[in-house]
Amino acid sequence: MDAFSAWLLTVFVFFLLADEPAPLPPAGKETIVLLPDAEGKSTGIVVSSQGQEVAVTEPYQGIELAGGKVESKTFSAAQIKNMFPEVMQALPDQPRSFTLRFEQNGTRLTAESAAMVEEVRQEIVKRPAPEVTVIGHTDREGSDEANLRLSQNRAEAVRDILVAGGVSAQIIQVVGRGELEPEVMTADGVAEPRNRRVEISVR
Amino acid sequence: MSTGMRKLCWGLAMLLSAGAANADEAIGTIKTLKGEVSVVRNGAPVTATAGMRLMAADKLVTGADSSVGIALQDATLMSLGAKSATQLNEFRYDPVKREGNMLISVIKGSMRFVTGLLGKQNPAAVGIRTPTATIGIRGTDFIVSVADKE
Repeated sequence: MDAFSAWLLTVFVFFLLADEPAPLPPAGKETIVLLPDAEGKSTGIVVSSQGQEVAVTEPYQGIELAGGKVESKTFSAAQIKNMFPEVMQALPDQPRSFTLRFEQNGTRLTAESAAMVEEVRQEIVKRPAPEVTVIGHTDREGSDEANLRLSQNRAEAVRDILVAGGVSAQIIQVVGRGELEPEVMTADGVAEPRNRRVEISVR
Repeated sequence: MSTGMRKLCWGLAMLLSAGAANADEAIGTIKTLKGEVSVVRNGAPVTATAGMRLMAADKLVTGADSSVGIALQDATLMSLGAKSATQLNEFRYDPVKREGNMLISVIKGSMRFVTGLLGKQNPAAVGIRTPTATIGIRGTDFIVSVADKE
């Protein structure tokens, strides 16, 4: 075996080992509590410990693990706020999405969308350490290649408007997806206003 | 240069560039920060600041009266309380294919975890560990707390 194969093997074994993280050091009592879903949807976790598997499906229901025992426990919202004040406050805001639409064959926003840009800008500047993703799309009129370029141009046009409004270009990621992800599925070659858009995610 | 040598060089170059690309890729950002928070990267602690980018193998450590709020690439939100240590073991997310996986270990202290796109699209690919348990998710917001050993 030459030196290179030996090196490869070492890296491979390292990856295999890395796949199974080392056990964590022992600690005291562990508490795991399910919180309500922000959108009110059904929610749940499954906790596996000491060979037991416990499903938690109700908000403020929790599990305590201590001394090899697994116990279910129900908390109140007020109790959770008292027990974990920092984590309840420090959670960042949920990302917010916007869709801006364009006139046919170009990078000109519709009047309605142009009026929304200020709201997007405000959402960005009010957040701590903001990041923005702008994904451009086209309808299915025209060639795939031309649409890929157009979608990129649309995303860049929106970035430029935001930058002109004082947002740092460095925090904006721009992607063009062409006609690959229409909002409304149409036959190829169809001009569909709802598909001429950029999707902006602010986080 | 012999063919074997050339192949070897190519192989090395590709492996190294692949490694570098992975190591350089930010997987999330610190959004809120209070008190003393450090990020342990390649074994060395660095003082964390708001806006700092996080990498896949980072460990986050908070001091007394401290906390930190994080958003990961897939819009997973996390917050860590005082005197906590949390290891990001694995994080991979492909926004185009919308697939990947993550594994996070809460070593001590408290963490709140709100599922992002990865957890919504493929809950089985998201795992949280504590010293004695593993937690599987089903589209979720929850708290994990590990007390110091008495």
